[in-house]
Amino acid sequence: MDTATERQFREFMGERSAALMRLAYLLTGGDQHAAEDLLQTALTKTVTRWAGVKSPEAYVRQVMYRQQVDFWQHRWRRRETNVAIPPDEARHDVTPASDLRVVVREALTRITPRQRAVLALRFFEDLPEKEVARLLGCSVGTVRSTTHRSLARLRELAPELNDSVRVEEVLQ
Amino acid sequence: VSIDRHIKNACGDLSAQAGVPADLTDRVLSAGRAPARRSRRPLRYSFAAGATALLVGAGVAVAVNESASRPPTPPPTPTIQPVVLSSDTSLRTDLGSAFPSHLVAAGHTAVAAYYTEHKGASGGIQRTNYLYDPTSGTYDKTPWAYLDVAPGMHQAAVLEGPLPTPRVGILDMATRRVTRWISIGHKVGGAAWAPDGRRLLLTTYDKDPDVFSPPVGGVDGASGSRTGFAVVDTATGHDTFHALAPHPGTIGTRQDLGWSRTGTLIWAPTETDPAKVFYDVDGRPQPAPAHEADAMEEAGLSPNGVLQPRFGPKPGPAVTITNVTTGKRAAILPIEQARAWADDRQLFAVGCAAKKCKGTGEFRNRLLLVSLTGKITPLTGYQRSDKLGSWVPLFTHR
Repeated sequence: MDTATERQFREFMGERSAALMRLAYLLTGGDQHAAEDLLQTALTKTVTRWAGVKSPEAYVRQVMYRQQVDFWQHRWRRRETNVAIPPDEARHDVTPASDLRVVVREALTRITPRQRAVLALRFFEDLPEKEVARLLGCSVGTVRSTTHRSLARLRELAPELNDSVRVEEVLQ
Repeated sequence: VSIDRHIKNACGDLSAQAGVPADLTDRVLSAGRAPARRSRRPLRYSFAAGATALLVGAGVAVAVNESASRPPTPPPTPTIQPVVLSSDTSLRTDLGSAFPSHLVAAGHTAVAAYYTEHKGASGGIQRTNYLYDPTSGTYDKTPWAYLDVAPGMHQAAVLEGPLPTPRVGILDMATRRVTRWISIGHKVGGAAWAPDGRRLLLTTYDKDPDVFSPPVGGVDGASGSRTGFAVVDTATGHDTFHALAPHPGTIGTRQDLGWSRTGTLIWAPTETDPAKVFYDVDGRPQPAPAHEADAMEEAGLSPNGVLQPRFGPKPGPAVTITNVTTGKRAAILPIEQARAWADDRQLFAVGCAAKKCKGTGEFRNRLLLVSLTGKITPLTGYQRSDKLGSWVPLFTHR
């Protein structure tokens, strides 16, 4: 690696490392160490191909997403996070917005990496299905079905989400 | 709010808890130079909570041997863990009024809370605490008599009035609910989170530490009523108490204890030189860590442990920044006080309007961000800091 590449990479990290770390943290469901590993692996791939990479940030993001979603290497696929305390039962009262936010955040940490990645791409990054499919290297149908299953699982883990949506439907 | 928005908000909340390891760039570059033996994040057990933002120099970590086949190794020795910095470093200001209503933040540090003071019914000074609400993005008035915010700004330790009080609450800042009450066998008047975001240092008193009693029978009522301290592990609720009398000759009744930069020692304030005396968490006197006992500005040493702000030179307003490793002057800044480091190059400071700093003009001031090159960015509106009702910021690593 030459000096110019190292300088460019350091500048890139100075500007973008925080945003990339946030994405890695989200994709790993709030596991700081796993997030560091994920981002470090993606960055290492990027820096070794620096001269040929047109947009380093887009490349790092794509590597991280693909590694987490991992449509091809099933042995890497991780299960949902096990927790000692079972989820609360569905409540019938209306959950305050701040509580709901925390409940959904917790639910996000407990779905599979693949489900989390697809939800992040669709709802956090606001990408259309076609773009998500291109980024992940799969079909639009796969994106659609994974999104559907991910939302269903999220609703299971955060039943308050259903209550909230119903209340909003009534109010509209 | 649609389900899309709920998910988006939750994703944003979750990702905001990330911390950027300070050595990440170097790790990647060394791995990129030697791809055959790719360097990963070293295995370690960390006492720090995973998502906690640590800006101070180091946490304590213990290295573990990766190979089970190797011969037994000597007991692990504490090593310095690289700094983990918060990921959100955006500049946030609220210039609209003297009291901030929206988040004020810069670099790795934010005004997580603030308090105003007024005279209470008992004649003492009472605080009204305002705490940042990450859901609304504003500071809200709280009923708590005292609070401190944990690094990462997800939790706060809260004390109920009147002080001192026998229990401390752990408040979830997003839901605004106390998730746990921890009862202490002694009465608590002050609380400080350790840099690891897990342990709490509680200063105990036998009287309200904010009430100034008039001298009675020749006894100076201003002497402290501190009885000791308790260190609480907030994850388990386990606490240990140690007696620690007020430091003789110290003015003022509140003599709260604080953590050293690494969170391995605690310190007590004095009115003499050195300005801080250090103890271990069992209350045994310890030598002061380098440059931490000096009388200096409230900001203390910079996050990298190199820069030290001191008041002066006259006539001011001025604060001099010195590099403690070389002894050379790094900058003289036109500010009244250096309150907290935003990062290694910028300080939260109190400053008055240029050309109006003389006489009582010095008390018309506001919070600023000042860089070592002298660039000044106002963060809040002006206030009169010499009058009751002025606000005092509480800085926390975000």
